[in-house]
Formats: sequence, C-alpha cells, structure tokens
Amino acid sequence: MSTFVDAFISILDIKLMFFMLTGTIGGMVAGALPGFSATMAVALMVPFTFTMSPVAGLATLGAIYTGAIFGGCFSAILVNTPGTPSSIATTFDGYPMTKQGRGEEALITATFASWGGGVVGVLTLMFLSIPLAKVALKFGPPEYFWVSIFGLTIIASLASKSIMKGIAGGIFGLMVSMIGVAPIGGDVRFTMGISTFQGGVEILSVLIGFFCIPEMLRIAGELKNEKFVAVDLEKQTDVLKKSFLNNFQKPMNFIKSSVIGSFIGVLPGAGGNIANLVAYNEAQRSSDDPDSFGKGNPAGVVATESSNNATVGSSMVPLLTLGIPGSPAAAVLYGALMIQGLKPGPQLFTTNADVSYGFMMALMVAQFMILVLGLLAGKHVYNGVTKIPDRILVPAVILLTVLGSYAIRNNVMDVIVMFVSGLIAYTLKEFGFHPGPIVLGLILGPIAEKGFVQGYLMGQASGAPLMIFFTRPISIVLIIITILSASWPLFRMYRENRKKGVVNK
Amino acid sequence: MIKNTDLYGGIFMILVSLLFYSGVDKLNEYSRLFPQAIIVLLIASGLGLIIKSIKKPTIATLFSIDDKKSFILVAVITLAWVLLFKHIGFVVTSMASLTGLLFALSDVKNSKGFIKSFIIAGVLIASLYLLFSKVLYVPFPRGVFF
Amino acid sequence: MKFKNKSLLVSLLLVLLLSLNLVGCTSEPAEEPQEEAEQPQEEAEQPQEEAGVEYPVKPINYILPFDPGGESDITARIQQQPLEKVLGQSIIVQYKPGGGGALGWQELVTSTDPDGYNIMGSNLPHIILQPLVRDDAGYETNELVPIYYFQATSNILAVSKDSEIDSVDEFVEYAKANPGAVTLSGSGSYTANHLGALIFNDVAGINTTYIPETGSGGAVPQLLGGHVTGLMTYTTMGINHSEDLKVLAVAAEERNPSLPDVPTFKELGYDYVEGAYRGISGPPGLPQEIIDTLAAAFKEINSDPEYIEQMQEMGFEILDFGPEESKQLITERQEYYETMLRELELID
Repeated sequence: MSTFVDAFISILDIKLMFFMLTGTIGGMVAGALPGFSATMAVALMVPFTFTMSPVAGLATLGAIYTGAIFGGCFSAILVNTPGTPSSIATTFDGYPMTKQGRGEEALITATFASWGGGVVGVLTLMFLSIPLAKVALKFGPPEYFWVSIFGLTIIASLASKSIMKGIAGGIFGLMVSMIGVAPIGGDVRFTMGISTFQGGVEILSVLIGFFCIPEMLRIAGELKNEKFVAVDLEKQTDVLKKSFLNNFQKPMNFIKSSVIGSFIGVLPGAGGNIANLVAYNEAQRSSDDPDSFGKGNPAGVVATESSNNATVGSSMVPLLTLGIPGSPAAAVLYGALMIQGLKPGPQLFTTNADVSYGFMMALMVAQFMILVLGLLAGKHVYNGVTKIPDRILVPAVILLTVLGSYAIRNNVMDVIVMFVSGLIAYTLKEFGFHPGPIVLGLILGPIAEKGFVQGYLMGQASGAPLMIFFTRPISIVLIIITILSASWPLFRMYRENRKKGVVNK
Repeated sequence: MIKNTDLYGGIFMILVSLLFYSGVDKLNEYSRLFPQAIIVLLIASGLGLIIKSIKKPTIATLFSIDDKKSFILVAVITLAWVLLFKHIGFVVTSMASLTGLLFALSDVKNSKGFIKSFIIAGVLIASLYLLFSKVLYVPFPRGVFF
Repeated sequence: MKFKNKSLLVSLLLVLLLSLNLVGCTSEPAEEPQEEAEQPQEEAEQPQEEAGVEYPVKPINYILPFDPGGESDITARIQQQPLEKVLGQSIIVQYKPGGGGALGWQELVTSTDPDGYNIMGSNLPHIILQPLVRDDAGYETNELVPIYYFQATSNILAVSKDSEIDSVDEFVEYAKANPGAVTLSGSGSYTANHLGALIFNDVAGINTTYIPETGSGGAVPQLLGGHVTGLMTYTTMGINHSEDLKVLAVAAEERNPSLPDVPTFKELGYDYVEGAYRGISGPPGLPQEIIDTLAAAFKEINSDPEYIEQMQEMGFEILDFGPEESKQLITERQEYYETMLRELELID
C-alpha cells in the first residue's frame, strides 16, 4: 500500500498535472471528432513526451487515451455518431434521449458512468494485474473464436423487430469484413478491382457512414416539419442528481458493465469496441423492461460508457505485466515505453516500480479529471449543439464526417466508403435491417476468422482439426455462455407467451 | 412505395453472396476456409428471408420522406463531394459542397441567403482545416487549384 | 423550377471563383511542432544547394505504411530528432496503414510528388514478396526509389523458458518425431518470419506448421499461453521478452551483439539466414540530389554511437546500404525470393 501512496505523492507535480489536463481535454476533443481515433490521438502526442520524464510522458498519454474513450460519447449522444468504436452502443439510447430533449441528462449520465467505469478499470490494473494476465494468456485462438461467436449472439438484442434480418445483417457484416488481406494465407481477397480494398474496409469509415449519414439525411428530409421538442429547462442540480442516480441507485448494471469492460480490456485484441456492445446486451437482457432499450433508457448509456472506460485501465494489464499491448493505443504506449528505455514486462513492477505505479496513479487521477471536465462541459456542449439549427447542423456534421473519415489513415477512399456505406445503411434501414448487427459482424469478423483458422491449424498439427475447439476448458465455458446467450431471447419469448396465455385464460 | 421487405432483403443477401463467391476461386486453402463458410451462411439467411417473405411477409412503406428534394440534394452534393475531393483538392471541393449544402437547406433562397451560406462554409472550413492540418498533422489532398 | 436551377449553377461557379482567391491566402500546411523549441538551430546544416534547388526548406513527412507501435515506428521515433538536427527541418511521422504496407507503397508510387518532402518507410522482404505473390499489389518493387536501408532484424527460433528443448538440434529431433505437430508462430504471411519458417523446414528436413499472427506483438502471447510450440520471430522480440523466451538460434551471418550467447543457424550447420530489412524509399522520379542529401543524413545518424547503442540494445542490427547498395540488395533478394518461392511451390 505504501508504494501507492508514494506513487501518488510523486505525481503531485504542477507541470505533470497541467500536461495531463491538456492531454485529457485534447483526448476528449479527439474522441468526440468522429473518425479521429483514440489511437491516433495518443500516437500524435508521443513525440512531445520524449522530453518529459517517463512517468510524466506515460501519464500524459494515458490521460489522452482516457479522454478520447470518454469523448466518444459526446458525438454518439448528440449526433448519433460514435466518436470512437467504443461508443457504438451509446448511440442506441443516448441519441434517442437527445431527440426527447434529455440530451444533457444523457451526457452527464455518461460522464458519471465513464468516471466510475474508469476507476474500476484502473483498480483492476492496480490489484488484479498478475492473475488476470495469466488468465488472458490462456486465451488462445479457439477461445478468441468462441468469444467472437458469443459476441455475435448479441445480435438478438440489437435486432429489435426482426431477428432473421438481424442475423442476415450480422452475416453480411462478417462477409464484408473478409475484404482485404487474409490473416492466414496472406491472399488478397474480394477487392473487386479497387486496390485500396487491400487494406480492407475501414471500420471507422463504415461506423461514421452507418450511424451518422442516415440520420443526417433523415433530418434533411424532415426539416420542414421541425418539431420543437419542449425542452424542460430543468435545474442543473436536478439533472446532476438524476444522472447520478441513473448510475448508482440500482448499481448492478454499472457494476456488471464495469467488470465486463475490465475483463474484455485485458484480452489482447479485444477492447472498448467489443466491451460496450457486450455490456449493453447484458444490461438489456437483465433489465425489467428490455423493450425500453433503444428508445432512450439511460441504463443503456450507463452500460456502454462504464464498460468502455473500464477498458482503458485494463488494457494496460498485459502491457505492464507481459509487455504485450492489449489494444492499439496500448501498442503506441509500448513504443513510447521502449523509446524511454523502459522494457515493458515484469521488470516494470520491480526495477522500475516507481514508473509503473506512478503511471497507474496518474491514470486514476485522469478518471477524476474526466468527471470534472464532463460535468462542466456537458451542459455547455449540449446547449451549444442543440441551439444550432438543423439546417446548419446537418452540413456542418457532414463536413466533420468528411474530415474525420479522411483523418483515419489519410486515405481518400475512406471518405468515399464512408458516404457510400451511409447510403447503403439508409436503404438497408428502410428495408428493416438495423445497422447494429452489421457493424457487429464487421468488428468481430477478423477476430472470428483469425481464431478459427489459427485454431484449425493448431488442431491440424495434433491430428483432429476441429476437435480442438471443443476440448479446451476455457473454450467449453465460453461455449456454454454462448448457448445461454443465444437461447435467452427464445426463453424470454416463451416466458412472455406463457404470461399472455395465463392472462387470456 | 410499399414493398415486401423480406423479399428484397433476401434477394440482396443472395446477390452479395454470389458477388463474393466469384472471388473465392483463386484463393489458397487457408484464405478461403472462413469465407466459404460465411458465403454458405449468407445464402442460407437470404433463402430464409425469401421463405419468410412468402409465408409471413413484412410489408412496409419505404422512403416516406417529406421533403424529397432536400433529401436528394444533400445526398447528391455530398456524393459529388467525396468523389471529387481527391481530384480537385480539399478546399475547393469542400467550399463548393458545403456552400451548396447550406444553401440547399436554408429557407432563404436568394442571393442574401447564398452569401450567408458561403460565409458560414468559409468559417467552418477554415477553422476545421486549420485544426486538422496544423494541429493534427493530417495531410489533405492537393488538387488542381489547392 | 428552371430558374432555380440556373441560379444554383451560377452560385456554384461563383463559389469556385471565390475559392481560387482563398488559395492565395492560405499558407503551406504543417508547422514545426513545439518540440522544435529545443532544437539548436545553429547545428543545422545549410539546406543543400544543388543546381539551384534548395532542400530541405520545409518539414519532411516520414510516412510509415503501418499502424503505430511496431518496429518501424520505434525506429522512426528514435531517428526523428537526430534527423531534425542534421537536416534542419522538422520530421513529421505519419501513418498510412493497410494491406500489410501495400496501401502506403501504392500511394508512394502512384500519387506522391517527387519533391523529397514525403518519404516512406519500406521493408524487405515485404516490398519484394507482395508484388510477386499478389495479383495486384498496386505497385512494383522497382518503382520504389530506395534511399537508405538502415536497420535489420534477423529471424530467431525461440521456445518458452521452461521448455525441455534446449537447442536447435533437439528442436529438429522433436519435430522429426512429431511430424506436422510442431507449431511456430510469427508475424504475418509472406513475411520474413513466414518464409523463414518454410526455409528452415526445408533445410532441416522437418515439417512444422507456421501459424501467422498479425503484427510481431501478437506472436509472443501465443507462446507464453502454450498455444504454440515455438516462435519464428525477430531478434527484437527475443530481447524484449528475454525472461520468458529461450532463444535457440539466430538466422544471421554473425551473432547478434545483444544476444551474444545465441549461436547462428550457420554455426550449427543449418544454412538459414533470413530477416527483415528496414529502410526508407522515395517516389519514382525523385531527383538524385535529394536522394543523396537524405542518404547522407541517414548515414550520419547511423554513425552516432548513442544512436547505435539505443538501437542495438533493442535488438536492431545497424545497416548502411546507401542508394546504390540498396538497389543491389533488392535485386539480389528479388532473385533469391523468386527462386525460393518457386522451389517451395508458392508461385508458378
């Protein structure tokens, strides 16, 4: 315990705090801008950290990462565009809340959720690193495959009206994710003559296109009927209280989501993008009123924002304990550590303990920074954005989507993909296909394929290619969870029908 | 228009699977392993939807947009924007497109409204361009003029 | 209706004309970042004046066709400040990932101005193998103009610390006793790791299964978690994870200074030398003067003892292949890989 106290004191440095504050704000802005990802924001700041002490440099980068993952909720809630993939599911309930005039409540709820989830994530990093890292290592290709299959069962909760269309959409997403270089085999697939597709379909472009464009088009088409939603100018303290209670009055949702985020963050290759969807699914499944999800239930926002910020701290676990980055942003931090001359790994806890503990304390401080910043900014950002008339907002947001999708990897094709997928998403929505399952397929496709083919290769080496998927202990646990998750909606329908049956009698 | 959405959805899925199927031949064993499975699943889901469209169809009203003209204008201008951006350069395409969008949606459709759109576009583009290219080091494509 | 359309058309024309005026007012993108504050400008060389063209006079973009955090990124970061000192201009590291580097190299070759302000990291064997193996990589190996190849990481064969296998011979014995059952993980398909595993199979007469991971970082957890038997990875991984790995041999001509106790495959009787070379390339048509200036700069930073120490500590081997030598190296390797791939029946 004394190490933590020492570490905390070591970071009480005005300059360091200042850097962290700037980093957090910068991260929030980067996260809120669709397309500009948390990883890019962190990578951008790396050169600036060379001249700082290792702790200061890492603390600043960590603050940026925290800010960015939090910042994603702003655009998700206000304009239905996930600022980062970690906020995809925040759009499901956050944006409806804005449409109902409760956007400020959504933002403040997200702030409390992000703060709380972030704290849980850093606590995980501080106290559970070693055991968790060991468990994470045991996740090999077959386990990753089952994790992605489990992820796909979430489709049921996202499909709202038609499960068949949801499933088809998910498979469609899986299919599109195959475009590009095959992870095993190395062949370039399905580029359809467009050589930019060698790099695959850029998921961030599609995210922006799928969530933002259809909404912008819809607003454009309904401008004449601008209905003025009576915004109850609630007292500031009322919104604060309501948002706080949204998170903590019935804490199960918050606790479960933070734990889900902490655990998923530890797995290398899986991060906030998956955590938020899994947490959302779980929150809906265990809620008393599942049908209210997707229509402005703050519990949805709590689930997604607490889980995604929990991944910030926990994705550092494999980095600090084993020297293996748990997320792309952690990979950048890995590079930064290397350049500072620090070898990531167990040494960081022994010879360089002051650095690693200092970093952890700084990360904790960063969570409190986003709490303060979020509470302060929430009201003003909300008022600022909602005061902009739609006829200006729509073009401005479209400008942001063009800039943002270009900024992902400085590739013009990404902008075209963004808009074209927006048009496709609009049409598919009209035909009843919700974007959620498609995006889920896109994200999980590469993980599922890698897990499957690598596992197949492993299995081939031992003679029975497919048996390997069913004979490992963690895989078996995952299979059971997947089956439970997949059959839950059927179970629920059965329960409802029985209730209806009783009433009718 | 009122359509049987299940039917069209199913057909779409089948068409997509055929498109991907045509790209599978040249792949080696490991590159085609997973895609082949997904193609099969996609065809199955397409067929499932088509069967549903016959037995218990979902008929819905599509594209019921109030202001079709604004909708189409926004779509077309933005499409032109993203397609021309690389060739004509960022600033020119964006100024033209953004002004076009603002003007298309504005309620004051005369030259005063146009000037207003142009100015707003200018301010937005200037500030965001500076933010992205100078602070975030994003290199924008330079085209014919700029 | 017609009237409205006409005014829209006129408006768009007006916009175009007015934008042209904006062109004149806006300055060049990219300024020097704050870190420049500590750059002692007096040490900067004067921009070379060759045939009336001064270079460099503005910041240079050092573009990496990969995601941040990898070997190329770390190298670029270490080179950044020394390069800035030597060239007297800011170096801005940018990323254009995709297709294992192909997207970046394609853009370099098709749409980058040969003005020397956009240079890109290039890797062997990637730039050789991709056009060879893919129908349309978007570029040809010889379209990239090599400026300097400055670093290499040889392949290593590693097993986990508590493995019973202590030497390459024991590994080969084990592999012969269990044909097809031994698995090796490494970075990517058609990369030095991948080809290395195939060549090693050939040379040692064994049949191991190569399981590619995306990115070097991904291979090590596979081994640590017990999912594969060994790793065919780079020297840098061996050094970073020295507490968890037992490096059996290194596929280089000579022993690696940071792994002095590790024999080379050649020493042990296996004719296997393979690894990844990293350097910098420019777009086709890059003037010789600019190539020479850049090559001289890289050569200078490569001879700084501090820089050398930093790189070697991490496992990188310092190389000094200037423009001509790089061309020779690439041609040599092209022939080698073409023959090798034909022998292994990976291409016809």
